[in-house]
Amino acid sequence: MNSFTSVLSWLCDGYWPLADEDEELVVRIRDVRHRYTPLRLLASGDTADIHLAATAEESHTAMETLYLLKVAHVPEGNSNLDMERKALRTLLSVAGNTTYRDYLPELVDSFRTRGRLPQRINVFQWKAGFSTLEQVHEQHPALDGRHLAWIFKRLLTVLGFVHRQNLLHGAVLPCHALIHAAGHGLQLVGWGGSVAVGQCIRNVPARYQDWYPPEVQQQRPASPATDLFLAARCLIYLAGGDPVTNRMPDAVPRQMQRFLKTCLLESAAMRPDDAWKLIEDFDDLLYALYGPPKFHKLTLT
Amino acid sequence: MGTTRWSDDHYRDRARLRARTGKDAFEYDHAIRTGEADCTVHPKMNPHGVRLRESRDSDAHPQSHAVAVLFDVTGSMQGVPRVLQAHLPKLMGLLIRKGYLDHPQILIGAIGDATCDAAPLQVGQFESGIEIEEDLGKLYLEGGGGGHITESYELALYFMARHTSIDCYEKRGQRGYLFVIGDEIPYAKVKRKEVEAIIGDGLQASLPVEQVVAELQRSYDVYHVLPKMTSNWDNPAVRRRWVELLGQNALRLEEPAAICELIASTIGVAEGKVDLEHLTDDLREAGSTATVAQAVRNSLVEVGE
Repeated sequence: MNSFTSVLSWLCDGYWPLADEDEELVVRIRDVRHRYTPLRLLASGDTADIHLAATAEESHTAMETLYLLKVAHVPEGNSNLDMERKALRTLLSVAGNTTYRDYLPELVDSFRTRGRLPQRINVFQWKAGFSTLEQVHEQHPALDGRHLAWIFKRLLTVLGFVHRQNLLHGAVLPCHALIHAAGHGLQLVGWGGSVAVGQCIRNVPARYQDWYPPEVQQQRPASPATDLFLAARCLIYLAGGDPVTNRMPDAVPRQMQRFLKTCLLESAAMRPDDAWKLIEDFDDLLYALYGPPKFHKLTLT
Repeated sequence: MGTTRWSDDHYRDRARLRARTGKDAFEYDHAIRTGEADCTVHPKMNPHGVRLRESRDSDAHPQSHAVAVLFDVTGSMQGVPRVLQAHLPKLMGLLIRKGYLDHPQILIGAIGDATCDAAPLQVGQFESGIEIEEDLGKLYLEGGGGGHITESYELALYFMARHTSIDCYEKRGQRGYLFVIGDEIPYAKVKRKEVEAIIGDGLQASLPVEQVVAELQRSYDVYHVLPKMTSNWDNPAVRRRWVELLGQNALRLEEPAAICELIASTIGVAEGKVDLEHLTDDLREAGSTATVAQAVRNSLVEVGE
């Protein structure tokens, strides 16, 4: 069940697991032309719910045929899911069959229910083996620099790709970054707050409000530097530091601390804004710190 | 997911797009041009009456290292000052990330023409925070200049020689770095009357520019950068004069947007932290074109040898 709960944060902050299924919702979703059968309501939030589901034709128990249904239950939720759909359609289409696709959740379907109050539903392929950074942090409150290294590089890789499509994720937070510990993989989920480069980010999860840089707090246009700021804060969080004050434990090498702090400067114009350039600089730093790259196993239960 | 080969290497195969340059942050310049501010130097950038611009150690920056960047903002520079302005805010972070300087303190300045401009010299403070960007925003882009190839670079050199005090040199014997970016050459002399009018010093006589450069080089490594896309990029007289004054520290930059990479690499070489053999690769990775990388490398190989 732990693997199921790792999706609780897919939409945004404020989700919690529910003990019982919501029969009414199940009926409603069954009723539409898209035949997904909700098996269990995994989480419910301010604007939408997440269901584990199977298609009617397929076994309800086989893991490989499971889906996640994100269902809006208030009008704002519909627009968030709509934005998520648009962003992911664009990104998945550009990604094609390249490895960038692996960094994104597989949106297999998106539709509106019929009826007087139609709901937007986004359907994702369920994939095993992923944990949110929140779950990682729970098990490893102060992650070693070698693990910070690969997680940051994966984050930068996907952000570089996204930014080149003129899009920002807008909520690079521990609840939206899922890692695949065994394969050192990463998926960036929760695209409901994404905006075009130069737009203002307005969807700020209350729990993470303090994490956001000044340009978001002051409702000024966001840039790739905004996503990179949040990515650096995720790393401080994983390292066991305080992402709000940028304090990092002494175990984090000084050079790495200084590196991260350049992503956290107050002014967006002074921060790096090219994720892929940043990887180059980070690689140099890692080589100086740890020598040639090696695989370091991260154990998650 | 078992078949997925997770790697960040594949991004190397993608075409590099030039990083966006962000907003036009010459806010003060905009205010002047729209009539919201008087046509004069911003008070915080005005060198008149300034005793010293200081780069000092502090608890937060125990080993401060002074880096001054002054660029020509006259008409001959065409669109380059705006490009420099858009990119220079990133210089501090780049120096730190590359590990070239742990605690850079950056001074921003602008050079006009004392013979005909309203703002012949603008100089901010040594800063290590958001003030760097603010100082860039306070510059007034002169856009004037005379119909010749001289601007008042010598006044800037004089100010830096006599009106700055830097701990990296005074406490540790490490020279600061001074980059003068422009497509023209200094006047032959620092003129007594101009110094009095613009800086407020009373000199007994005008000073030859060579004397000022020698004075300045005691506490700074001084470089000149001639950027492409300016009026005098191809003018041999400009290059020749800067080589006379600064020798191998006369650099050329084919891509003005790569200014931070050039400055950082130059400092990396001077600090002994860049392997010259790998410099071209470093620059290419940093987003410079192969030509620029080679050009920068060629310039810096001379410096390093």
